[in-house]
Amino acid sequence: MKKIQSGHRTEKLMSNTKRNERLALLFLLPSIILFAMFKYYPILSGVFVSFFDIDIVNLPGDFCGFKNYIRAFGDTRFYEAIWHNVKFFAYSIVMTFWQPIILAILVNEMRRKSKTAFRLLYFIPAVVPAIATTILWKYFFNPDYGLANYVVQLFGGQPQLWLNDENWVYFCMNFPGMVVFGGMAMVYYLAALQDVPNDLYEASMLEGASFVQRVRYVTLPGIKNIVITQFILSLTGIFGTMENILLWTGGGPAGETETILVYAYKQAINSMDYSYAITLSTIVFIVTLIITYAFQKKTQEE
Amino acid sequence: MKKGFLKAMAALLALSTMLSVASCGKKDDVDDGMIEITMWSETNEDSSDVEKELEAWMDEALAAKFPNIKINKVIKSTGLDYRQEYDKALMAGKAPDFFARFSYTDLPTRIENGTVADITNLVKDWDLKKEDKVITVFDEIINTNDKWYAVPRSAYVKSIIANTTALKAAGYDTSVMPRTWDDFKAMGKTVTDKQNAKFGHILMGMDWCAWPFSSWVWSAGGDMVTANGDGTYKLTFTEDPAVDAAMFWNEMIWDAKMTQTNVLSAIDENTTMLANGSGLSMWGSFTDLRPEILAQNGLSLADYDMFAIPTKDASIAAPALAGGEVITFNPKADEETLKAAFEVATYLYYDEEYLAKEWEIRAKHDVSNVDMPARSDLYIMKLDTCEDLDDDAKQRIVDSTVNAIPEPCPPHWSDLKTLIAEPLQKIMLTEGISRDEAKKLLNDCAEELYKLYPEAFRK
Repeated sequence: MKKIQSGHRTEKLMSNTKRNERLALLFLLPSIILFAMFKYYPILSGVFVSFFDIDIVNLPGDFCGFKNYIRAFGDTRFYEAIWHNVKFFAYSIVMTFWQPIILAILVNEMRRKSKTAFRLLYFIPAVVPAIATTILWKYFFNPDYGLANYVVQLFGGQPQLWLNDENWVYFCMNFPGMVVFGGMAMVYYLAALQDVPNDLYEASMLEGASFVQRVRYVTLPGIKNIVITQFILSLTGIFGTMENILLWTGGGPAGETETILVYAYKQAINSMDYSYAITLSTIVFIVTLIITYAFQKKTQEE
Repeated sequence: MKKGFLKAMAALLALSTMLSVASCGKKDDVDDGMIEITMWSETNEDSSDVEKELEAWMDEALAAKFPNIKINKVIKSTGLDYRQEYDKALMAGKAPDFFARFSYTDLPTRIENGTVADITNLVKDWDLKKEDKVITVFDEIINTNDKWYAVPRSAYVKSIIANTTALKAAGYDTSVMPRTWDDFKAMGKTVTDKQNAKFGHILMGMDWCAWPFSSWVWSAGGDMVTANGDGTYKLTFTEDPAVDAAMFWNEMIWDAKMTQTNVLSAIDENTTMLANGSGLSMWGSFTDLRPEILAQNGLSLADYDMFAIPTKDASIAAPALAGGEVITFNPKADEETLKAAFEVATYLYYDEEYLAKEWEIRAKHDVSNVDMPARSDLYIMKLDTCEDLDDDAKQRIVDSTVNAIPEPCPPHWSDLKTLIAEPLQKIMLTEGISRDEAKKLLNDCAEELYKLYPEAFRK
């Protein structure tokens, strides 16, 4: 009798689970449809038309197989553009990636009221529209009347060309991220820090661990997952960046900041070579997909 | 798992197909006898008063003039993305039936890829053309293989625009404007005051720098490209005159120190500097002086004048560069729609009465522009409505059009312009660059172009 009752209960539980799943699916359906419409449809269309010589009057044009891909892999500008993406990524890691982590750790050490105030202080710049801030920073680095040269000269330095100088341009574009932005990432890290068990801190303190040791052996391992996620987002973000670069430098000076998507954009707009532009964008998509997958797999294994 | 994945892919494919079908445009049914055409308008509720007044006048005039044409006006602020917006609309079957934004330099590519309609029959039957009242400066480009693909909308001449009031204030005698490069550098050195952000010349070194550079190559007695006679072009920007011009740009920045240091600044920043009195001269035209910025800085067109591009030596005649826009037509439009669109477009840009009213409204609001209208016989009439310029200045504008020649635009001209910007910027930004280094950079660029586009460029 008990067996029968337990069987009924299991069946009921199963049917509840199924009903919940269906209900969840129903609620998810609108977002799935929107995602399919505005994300997967353009992506799949892009992949599809990259195999065509696009005729924009009579879409899609003539099928050309892998011609556009073969062209891309034999194009020196394509590799230069990828190299510029890699440089961007390297600069952003060195200049901007670590700063929100340190900020979050420091803010987390504060008392509750100060913590809220600092969190707000660092977060506000993150919600200011990027266009407005970029224009302001461009003024800052203007070699004719920008504040940057004034400050440099104040300390006895030589005025620089900043954004017009191949050696400085990446530094300038990442500088705002280093000194002002990063508030959004800091909030993520701060949230992750709340999940690090207090027992571990208490135990480490009892063992006589210093602040640096606590960070090294408790805090950082505790927020490792979010650090990896942010790392992947930075990486994919760098490959997907275009408007920001167009606004800062237009790809200059002398093509130094022409990343892969800026190159694709110029192919589409200046040369009307839509097939090639879409192929380049598709390659970017595939590369970021592979990188993301590889990182996720590695993280899961660990 | 596989089955689930296949199902998901099938669902996505079905959705894609549905979306594709749904996105296909379909014109509304129109009453008998009425033809519907689509046009784009940039005027919206945020537009200036003068734009709104002009729009209201246009609506009224079109309704009275074309009772049998239903005009479907789409408000579209395309800004600098007009090419992209037009092409997107064309792909979606929603392009306007006529479009008056493309530069004539876009036409060779657009003719080749079929994104503009063949309007030969309409142009051949066009009275104004028969009467020689249409400007002909772009004819070589818009009339290809005996077929017409566009009609002019307006033209402008680019030479040197100078803020003569500021030049005088800086101690320069404006009665004799610089004739040679040396004169120009001397002027620049006299008037530049970098401490107070006053620059003798605003150099256009942005990513479109090949555009002004063409004029400077002419001013050294050379050319960017020369026709081989078989449809291909030789790249002559590697020859001495172009290298001289590139070196002159470098000298203006580093030796004469007469330009802004931020030579890669965007065109909007440059025109703003010219209109706010910070830049004392620039390669451009009166159209680059935006009335609202002039007004904000207490300046008007009367503070500016136009003079010929200085040349390497006085023996060289420097032609000004003629630029301008053309009106193109939707390649998907049927014959009847094309005819109606042609009538409406030519009315808006060629009808004497309509244009007179438009210029009157602009003059009333102090925003006259001095671009050459597509009607060659109405230029003087248009300039007469501009009260800010004296007769001498107007005469100089008219004179500058006489020797103006269009920018060369062989096939892949846009690609050439994109690629050459890189070596030009390197030459500009490298202090103390040698002539040989500059020549090598230009040569490398030419070799790349020969390799990439052998069908267009041949040695």
